[in-house]
Amino acid sequence: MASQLTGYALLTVLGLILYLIAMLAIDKSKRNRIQSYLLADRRIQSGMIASSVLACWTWTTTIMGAAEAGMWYGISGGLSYSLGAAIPFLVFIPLVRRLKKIMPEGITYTEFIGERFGPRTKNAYFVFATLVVLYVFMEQLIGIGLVFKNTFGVSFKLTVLIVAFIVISYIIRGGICGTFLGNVFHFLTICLLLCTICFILTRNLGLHFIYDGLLDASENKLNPNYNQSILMLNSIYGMRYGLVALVVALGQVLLDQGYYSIAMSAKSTRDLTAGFLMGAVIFWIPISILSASIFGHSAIALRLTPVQGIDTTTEIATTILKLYGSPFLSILFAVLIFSIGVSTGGNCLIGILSIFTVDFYSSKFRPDATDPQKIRFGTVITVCIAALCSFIAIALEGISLLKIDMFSGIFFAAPCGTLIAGVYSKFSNENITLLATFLGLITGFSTWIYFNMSGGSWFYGCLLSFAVPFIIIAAAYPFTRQRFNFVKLKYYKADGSRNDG
Amino acid sequence: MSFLLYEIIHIGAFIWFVIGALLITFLMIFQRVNARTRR
Repeated sequence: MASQLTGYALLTVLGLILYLIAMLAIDKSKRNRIQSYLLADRRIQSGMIASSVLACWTWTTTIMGAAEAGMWYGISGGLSYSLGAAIPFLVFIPLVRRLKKIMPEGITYTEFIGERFGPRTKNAYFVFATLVVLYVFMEQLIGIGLVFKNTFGVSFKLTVLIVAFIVISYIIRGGICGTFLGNVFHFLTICLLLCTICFILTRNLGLHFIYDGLLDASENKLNPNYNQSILMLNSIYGMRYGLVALVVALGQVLLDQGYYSIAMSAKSTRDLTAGFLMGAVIFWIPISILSASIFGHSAIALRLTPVQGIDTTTEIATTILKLYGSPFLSILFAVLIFSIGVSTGGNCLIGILSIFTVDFYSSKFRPDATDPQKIRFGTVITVCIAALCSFIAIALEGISLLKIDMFSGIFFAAPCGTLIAGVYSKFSNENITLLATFLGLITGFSTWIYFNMSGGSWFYGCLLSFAVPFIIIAAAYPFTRQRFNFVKLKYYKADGSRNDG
Repeated sequence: MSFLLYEIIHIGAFIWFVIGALLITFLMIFQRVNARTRR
């Protein structure tokens, strides 16, 4: 095991590099202008968008979750995970393109919700947006904390606090320009380290060994990981898992303002589309396929189970690296997880910074606030949220995240239906919209709880939570008279001075 | 599934990722140089 000193030194060096990048990214004069600080003057091109999205959408759970899926469902697990997590961007890209078209001056999706449905729905979405950030950032902190603890023996609590401090300081210093440049650093780190780790582990383990292990697990009933469909591409359980991954990922993408901020910073819709397609779909898919195969399938071949060899399936990657890698490879893996977690966490925080800077302060407190006042307010709230995330992450040390993941899957599915309906339909009854969202939540949670919180009930809970708002809005559409006029959004200004045309 | 198909999926995903990483890196460099030249 590498020493504690190495762990803390590594965190310090990486933190300093990121802060330096953030300092170089933006002039002091531009830090007081929202257009520069939160939108990079809308001049970002497809290459940087692609690298940024690839780094942000690669979560600590992309590596560990895909490995679990590979272990549970075999070949179809990795493929289902990658498709389930990539397809939501095929929903997000046309949605955000339309949002840019109908509301060219908009920055956050909560602004759109407020204009589209009304202040009560907007308040509900403030809550959803904040909770999604709490959940995502907390997961990244826990992932980094666990890997650093296992690799270097450092304190989990201290690591979580240091990482939260690193992320918040470079995000606040550099704004979205700092985030983009930081993400280029993370992108290069992720690509380089993932390729190195995959290459070395494949060479050490051997593809034949992994394949023979899978074959044995599919035929030998005495194998602890026995699963007949482990070598099938079209396993029904794998497909079902993929469908749930899709609904869960859709909530995480559509409710995370960070992705909207990246999209709104794009120079043109062509750059936006090309960047997101490359970074989140085309070149992101192989990451989870590789993780599932190199970690998940290796675990099957090594006959590791949650009872024998590992405590939980989330430990697959670190266990395999200890068994078949070297201490140096474990350090590389820790840096990889750091880059993955920090880029994702940074994206969440820049999203929440945008919401509280652009939208919340002017709509709730001072409509006439200047840019520096709004930025100061957004900064304070973002720091508080980051601190809260780190405290929750520390409190959750040693507790299984499975129930939180399941809860979040159902919780974030319901508002997606309303958001999609708001962008594409003219339906504009706020009461029914709110009712549809909350009925979606209630139906989803009731199904999950009624059937003893099992995996199967979670599957149906997620689907119902997502589908019920759609069904209610579609059923109510012919019976309501109010129709929304999208033209007025064209004249919307982020400072609140809307000109209704 | 045969070993050959498994090998194709694994190595294919690796090559696919390497190509993507190189393509995005070159695209970033090209766009950066292009923007500087225009200025």
